[in-house]
Amino acid sequence: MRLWRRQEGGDRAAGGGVKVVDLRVRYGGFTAVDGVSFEIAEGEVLGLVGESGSGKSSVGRALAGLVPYEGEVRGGARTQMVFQDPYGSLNPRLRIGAAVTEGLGSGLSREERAREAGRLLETVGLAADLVGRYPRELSGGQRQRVALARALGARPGLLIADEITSALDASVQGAVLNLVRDLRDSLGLAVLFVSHDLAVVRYVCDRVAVLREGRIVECGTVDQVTGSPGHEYTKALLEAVPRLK
Amino acid sequence: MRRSPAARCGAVLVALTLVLAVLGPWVWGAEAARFDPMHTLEGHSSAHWLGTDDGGRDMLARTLAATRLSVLLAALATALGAVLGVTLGALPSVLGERAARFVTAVVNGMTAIPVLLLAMFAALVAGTGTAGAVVGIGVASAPGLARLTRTLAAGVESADYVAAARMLGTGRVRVLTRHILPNIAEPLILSVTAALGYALLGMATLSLLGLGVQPPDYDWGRLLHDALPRVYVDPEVIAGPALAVAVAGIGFTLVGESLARAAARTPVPPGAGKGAELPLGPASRPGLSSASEAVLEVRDLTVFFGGVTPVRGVSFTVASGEVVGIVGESGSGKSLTALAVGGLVPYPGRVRGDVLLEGKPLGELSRKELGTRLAMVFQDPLSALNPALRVGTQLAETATVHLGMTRREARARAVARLERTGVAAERVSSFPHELSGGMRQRAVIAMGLMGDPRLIVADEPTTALDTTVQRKVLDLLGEVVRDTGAGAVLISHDIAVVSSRCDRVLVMYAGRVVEEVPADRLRKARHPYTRALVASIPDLGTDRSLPLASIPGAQPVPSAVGEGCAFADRCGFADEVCLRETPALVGGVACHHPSGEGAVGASKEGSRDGRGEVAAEGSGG
Repeated sequence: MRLWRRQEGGDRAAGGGVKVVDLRVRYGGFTAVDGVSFEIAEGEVLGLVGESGSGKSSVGRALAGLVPYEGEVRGGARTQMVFQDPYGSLNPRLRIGAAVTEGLGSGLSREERAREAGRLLETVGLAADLVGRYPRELSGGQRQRVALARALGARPGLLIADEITSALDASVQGAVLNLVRDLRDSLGLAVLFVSHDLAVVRYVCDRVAVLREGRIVECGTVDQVTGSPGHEYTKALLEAVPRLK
Repeated sequence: MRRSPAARCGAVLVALTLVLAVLGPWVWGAEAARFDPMHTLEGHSSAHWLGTDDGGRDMLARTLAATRLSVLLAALATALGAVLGVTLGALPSVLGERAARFVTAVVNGMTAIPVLLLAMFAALVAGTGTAGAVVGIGVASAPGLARLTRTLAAGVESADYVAAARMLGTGRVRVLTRHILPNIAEPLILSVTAALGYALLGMATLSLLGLGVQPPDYDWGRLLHDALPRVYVDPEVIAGPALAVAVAGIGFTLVGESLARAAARTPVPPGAGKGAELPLGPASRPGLSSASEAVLEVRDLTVFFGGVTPVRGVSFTVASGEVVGIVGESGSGKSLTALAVGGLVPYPGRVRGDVLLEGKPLGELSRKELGTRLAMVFQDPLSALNPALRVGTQLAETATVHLGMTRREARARAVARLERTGVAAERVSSFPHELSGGMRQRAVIAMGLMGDPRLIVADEPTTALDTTVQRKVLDLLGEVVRDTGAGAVLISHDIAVVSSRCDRVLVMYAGRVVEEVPADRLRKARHPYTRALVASIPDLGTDRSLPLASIPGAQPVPSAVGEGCAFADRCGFADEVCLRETPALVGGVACHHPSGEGAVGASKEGSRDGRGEVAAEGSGG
């Protein structure tokens, strides 16, 4: 397992946003991502849509430094990722306060840490007094907010959201999606929003890239892609979105 | 917590051993060391129940006095083994890739060496005597613990929170101490407890072989060693130390293993034991048989698990050719309702109420009738198919077992049904893993069609599938219902899926049906929960300039559902009546303040931070 290698790539000074050129991810002989290029500006949410096996999660994991890749990644300093499963992404033995301050480094005093934990929790719409709780005491939606807060603690130049609402119940999904949009607006966050659900992507994202078999088949603004799709595959995906009668 | 006899027995033996370990040398120490040249090498007598040794010392007193040293040495050896093993097993987590692989390989190689051989080798290297034996047993128990540590650590390392920690720049050692070790500590401690029993046996073995404790010290193994030559003359002289080793060894092993079992057991849900008195099976009440066209009639279905009631008085009917949807969030009881309809509620769940399939109570149907009249489709087609059997063989089984067909007829029918569900005929000899997810689900539906199903129950049949595949599988379900005239229950968390495929929709919340509504009237639903649910799901027409609606709070867990409306604390319309009285399902809605037709759209009120109120505008109705 090569979880460790982290390619910082390019100029760290660029702050937010990322430019990806010809990204490739291989697992043994299998090419999961086959030459993907895109750009995400500061304060922009790019949706990455595709079906299972399209390579969308591999793109996210590569940018987060969790899988080795080839290609050029400029910017994206301190890239952070929020995962699909809110139950697997928090250490069950760690209090919420300790979890969200994990990325702050060791230079802070105990009080600064506590203050920062409270501030981060409030940023994601949680009460600051949750710091003393354990993950098991929180609902799925709250945990997903904690995972977001933890990622924000590292002041990421790029945030990767990998299917962050697909394990959540419908009634709390909306709140998490609203939060992603709010964070983009208030923090100028660059977000790569990976999802299989075009309706969700349409709601959250500014631009969308449609991924199929490791390649981007269509990329454009949300209105273009969902309103007048250019590629047959995109049309098929849109057709398949279940609709309320 | 209730303990098993094995656990209780182990606890008693361990307690006895520990008491003896503390008291033994004080009470019997002097007696055990007293030389008596007049009575050497004697057998059983009233003065010496278990005889005497070559110094005329009492064997019983020596056995009891030896408890402390025996247990102490075993504990030392175990501690050494635990430190060595856990260190070795945790090492790969902090090493580079290549070194980690090397250490893992060494550990795996060492587990292949027989434990006693390793112990003797280590004891010889470390030198004969007490210290040597402790080192030997400690070293010998290390590989097993190292391997366990490695396996557990590898499991935790793949968790998302470890990936998150690495992205945040947390160092390897810190990841180990902060994330990995705390999460594997519990099973490790349990294994160490069990290892104590083995160490006790191991120490006794080494001493018996003369490699362990040397005179004038003595432990049980040493006593055995000294008495062994006399075993055919005075067998009672070895009874004391032999029994002691057995009792203590078995005690520690039993306690360790029952602790491990108790930890592995899923916890009993909170609130268990409240008001449980309903051990009834699906009863048939005379005079209730349905006269209607309903293929399925469910009346007052209630499912209990201990004192928890995840399904509370659910009633609905499904007519021939009708697709009824059940929608709800996780924990709403929708899947248990499906299982109860199939008679599949897992132990120790209990079912009360009536489930009538074509007017006949479920309990009165033979397995054959159930196997051919009812088809179930679950979320994971892989678990519904036997991975070791070819798809065609599995399908044919239904026909040979339940319909009495010959194998040839059954196979022909299997091919026909697979083709009917869009699986190519040549796939009949494929194994399940060779099919894609969508094809597998088609094969499961084909399996349901092997009989002559009057009811198809599909529980999240497309949740694991891609949307394009989902659409085709749902199309297929619709076609099957239309062609066969069977009724269907389609269960999903996705209200859009349910609404697009069903005639009628039941909305479940906290174990109850809170609303029953024609699918095309979902947008005009009357229950605040349904309205909020509909509003919270973005579709391709959602206004992007507005925040999405969401419902504050969370659905109560089954054990926390009490009197009153379960949705009350998340509902903008709730008042005292809602908190006090559980609303009945009247006119398709179970709500004290259902919305009238006029108030449609009111629940579009959003909540930007997830803490706002739902449907803040007038309550209508």
